[in-house]
Amino acid sequence: MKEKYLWLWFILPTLISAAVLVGLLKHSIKEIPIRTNADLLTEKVVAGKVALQKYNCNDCHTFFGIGGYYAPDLTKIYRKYGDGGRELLKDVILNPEKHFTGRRMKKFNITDSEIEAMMDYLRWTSNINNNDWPPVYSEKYGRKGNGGSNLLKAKKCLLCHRYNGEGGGAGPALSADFIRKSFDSKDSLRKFIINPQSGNKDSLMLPYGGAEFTEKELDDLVKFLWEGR
Amino acid sequence: MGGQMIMDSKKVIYFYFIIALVLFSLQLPFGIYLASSYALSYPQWVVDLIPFSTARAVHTNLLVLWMLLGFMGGGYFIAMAEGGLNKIFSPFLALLQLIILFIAGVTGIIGFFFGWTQGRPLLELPFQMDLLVILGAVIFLLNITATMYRGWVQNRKFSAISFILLLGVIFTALLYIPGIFFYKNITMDWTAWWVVIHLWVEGSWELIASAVLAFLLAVLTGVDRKAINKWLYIEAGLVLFTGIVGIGHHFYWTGHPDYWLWIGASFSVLEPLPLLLMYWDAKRHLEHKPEFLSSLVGTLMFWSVVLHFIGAGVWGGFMTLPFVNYWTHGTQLTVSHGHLAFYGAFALLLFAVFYVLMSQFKGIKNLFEKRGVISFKIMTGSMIAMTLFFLMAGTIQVCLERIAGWSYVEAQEWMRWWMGFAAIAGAGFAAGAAIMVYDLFFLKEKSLNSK
Repeated sequence: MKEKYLWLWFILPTLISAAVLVGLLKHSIKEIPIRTNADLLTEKVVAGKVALQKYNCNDCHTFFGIGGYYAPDLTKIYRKYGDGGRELLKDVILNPEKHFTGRRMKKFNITDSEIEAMMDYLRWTSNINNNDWPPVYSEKYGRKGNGGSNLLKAKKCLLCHRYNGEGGGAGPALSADFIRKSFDSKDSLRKFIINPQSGNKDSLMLPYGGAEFTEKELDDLVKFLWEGR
Repeated sequence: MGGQMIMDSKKVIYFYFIIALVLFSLQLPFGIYLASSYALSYPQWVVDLIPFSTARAVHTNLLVLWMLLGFMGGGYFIAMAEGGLNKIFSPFLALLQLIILFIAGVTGIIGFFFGWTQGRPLLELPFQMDLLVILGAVIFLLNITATMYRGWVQNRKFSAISFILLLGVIFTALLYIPGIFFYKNITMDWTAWWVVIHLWVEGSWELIASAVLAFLLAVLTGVDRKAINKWLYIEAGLVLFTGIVGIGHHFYWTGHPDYWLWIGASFSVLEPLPLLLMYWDAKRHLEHKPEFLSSLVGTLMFWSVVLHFIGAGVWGGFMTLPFVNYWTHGTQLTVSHGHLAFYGAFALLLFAVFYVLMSQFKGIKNLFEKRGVISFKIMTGSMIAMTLFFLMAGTIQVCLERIAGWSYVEAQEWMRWWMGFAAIAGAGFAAGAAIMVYDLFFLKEKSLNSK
């Protein structure tokens, strides 16, 4: 090819690719309202997005896996807490120092209306159809259980208690919400597991201390129940 | 007057490089703080004072700012040299533009500490500062275009390198625009965000980088211009052909339809190809003049194309495959890829530009290279180590959090050590960078008896 026409090697592939992208995006963007339930995007929900941007949440957390990797993905975090755990989730955001002792989160001065809007917004994002990502909330791959929930199974807690939809009904379900309401600190929860009757003399729960758990296991279990994960 | 003006153009470009180097130096302590935040448990007051989010915003914005200023300074020089001129169109406007961009960037970055932010990663700059950035960009575009135009009118000189460079800077400026608005729908927000970020780093920045690389090869190795032009066009064409639709690999999990999994993957697997060509072509040209290949600048350029190919091409390309990306997306593996890719593709190339032009501006014929070589070795070794440590942390994260289904926090506990090592590698990198910045500030002739 003559030197004079060499620039076509650059310009033609570029134009082809740009045309393909524009065409595809045009179609794809039309699908977005359906896949994101954009009809539910009310002023209050959008106010939640404004608030999340105001506090720069996205530089520690990710949405759709994009942003800072310092803290969990928020796209579907609302599914973990559910409407029943809404108050707990609010408390985690408002008073992070109560909930996190290892890796800490900044305490922001978030207003009441902002936190409510954030909740509505996170509830909305948790229902976006984004091809079943992240894996932990996936319908196909699901949450397979972690150290804490494996411990619940291995120690037969689930014979009486329910966790994440599994287990018996003799004792109360072990949601973080319930745990936080019932115990004022991790220490009292720990004491209770070792000897339930010391905390509540009417409790029917068997004392599990000493024989059943190593110290490390007990620490892990308490942390797991307290943090709900 | 002529003599004075020649001095001025080069002096202004020199200021661009000085500011870029200062901002680069500031970027590094924030990086170390970020990595160490994973390894250690900082007390609440530290976190309240400088949260990870602020430090990350500073780290990434400084990166963008110093690289853009470096490319702008280099771009002015290339426009001038390729036009056969000895001054740019207006050194005064170039200086004004530098001041505007510096004020916008630094005000924005200081604002982050006081919560003044748009709250979108990498594009945190508030709207008012965006307007200043656009003003600076417009001045730059007018000034560099006028310089190239003058070269064409006066000397009939407008090379392939100038052409690609000009398109690169125009696209960079235009692509900034979708990023300044507020989007109600998060999926639309990320779509606009990726148009900025992806089409920058895998589109317009690549054009600028390949033009800069071609310019350095042309002036420093004495390879025939025809060969350089041919490969520049082919590489740049392939980069954009694969890169533009390649944006699809960012649409997998953001609420777009699932056909992007196929489209994104198909174009992304081709993305390493132009980078491989760039490596092969640069290597061939560098070997054309063996004594240059072994010099400091030759080494910087060689390792730039190598790490560009490995970090961006191989490492990045591997992760864009949907069945890999489903598990690895948003983990420390991305961090690992990002650091190596940016260092190879842009940072090393800019260091080469700084060494070539700053020593030329100072009139140095035979550069004292020892400090530069030492700093290069420390920085590159540290960066490779850091990449591997992030890789280890990311692998643990993928296995525990993503595949085994552990909670985020539980998986992070097992990554601590590797993040700590990454912070240490970061400190090593900062030490190497300090030597290089000092060296570039005080470049000197190789003395005859020091050999």
